[in-house]
Amino acid sequence: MFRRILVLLDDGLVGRRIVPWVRRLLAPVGGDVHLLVVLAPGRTVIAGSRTLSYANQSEDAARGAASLELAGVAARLRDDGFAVSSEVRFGDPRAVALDTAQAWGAEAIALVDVAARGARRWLTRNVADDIIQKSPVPVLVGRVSGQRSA
Amino acid sequence: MRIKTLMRCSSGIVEARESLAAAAMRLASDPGGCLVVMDGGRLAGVLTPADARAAGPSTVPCLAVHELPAFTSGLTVADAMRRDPVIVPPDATSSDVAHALRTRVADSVEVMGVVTTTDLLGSLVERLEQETPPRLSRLLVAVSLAASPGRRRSMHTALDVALDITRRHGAMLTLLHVMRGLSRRVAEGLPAGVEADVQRWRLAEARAALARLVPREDRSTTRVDVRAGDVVEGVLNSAATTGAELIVMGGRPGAAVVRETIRRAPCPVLAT
Repeated sequence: MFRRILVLLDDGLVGRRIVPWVRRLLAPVGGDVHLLVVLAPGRTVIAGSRTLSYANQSEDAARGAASLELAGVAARLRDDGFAVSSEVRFGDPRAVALDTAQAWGAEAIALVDVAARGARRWLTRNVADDIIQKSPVPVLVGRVSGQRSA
Repeated sequence: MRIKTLMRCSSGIVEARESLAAAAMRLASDPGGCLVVMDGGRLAGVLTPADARAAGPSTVPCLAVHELPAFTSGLTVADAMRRDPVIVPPDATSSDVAHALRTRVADSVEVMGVVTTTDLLGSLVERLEQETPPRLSRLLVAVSLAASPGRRRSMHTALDVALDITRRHGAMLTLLHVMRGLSRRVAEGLPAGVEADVQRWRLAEARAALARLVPREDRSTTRVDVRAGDVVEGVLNSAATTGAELIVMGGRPGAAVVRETIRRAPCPVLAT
């Protein structure tokens, strides 16, 4: 059974719903968990002729906030006896998750499916769908709501 | 859990006479935030995004257009803030805070941080999850008995993964196959009354084929379930009936059945 799981999180509380399931799945064997937050790349904010903030500044601020959130999740997993690492990256979550999974040697990927509704569902590609389709390792997918909790 | 480990810094401090619009702008960047309101150096209340919204223009567009901006632009934080916040010392436990929220007992004056009911609920959820038995007890693996080599490989991967998890968790596994109904052309070609017999024979054949897939050492922890009809409905019904805590499915890449199951499943899905 897989012992190295990459957990794809967002910068809010939604993605965390999958963490208790990962904990439960790995409980009998223990294992390594890599927490990955992928954020949209920062943008330079310009007002008139003045640059209010550079892309790297906004990325640093976002990284700081996300790292703070990750620290709490990681600490609780460590309390349960798992080896935990975490990182915050910027870019397309699909590509970054798959690249990180390969580089880290993940044996499974865990994420929450945030399905768009209505017309948006047809206009936007779902991150979970793409990762399931392209991932060479099993993908554990939870939902935001309407699903039993771990 | 002590409240000093649960509390967070407030989004900031505002004076009660400040403009509500300005305070709402500060809260806009932090939806879970909370401003501490001071009046003449004394704690006067707290302001959350919900409080600011409640005092602002109507959220119903047809009503909002009749509310002149001048009516709401003159509002101050004091008009919208929640007065008499519950105050507890940093050494209070989360239970103390929950009790204080019910009885509205206030104490102390120095503001060190903010705890909302959302924070308390988060703490409660974490505690409940810690108490949940960590091992999985019921799994469902959905397999296809179709003959194509790709599907067969995918089926074996899903089954192997499910059996492995089942062994390690000491769980019960339901091995499910959902048969599609007979095609209309075949059904129409059958003599009257024979269709039900053919269906029974197909179910029995499928059940036997599934049973052969289960290794001898796993037979005591595995039960076979064969259903007829729509695949997604069959998987969801079986998951509901067996109380499955995890559904394992093959069928990548991009199978519509897997995607639909993920969207409607009562538990997480492991797509292999």
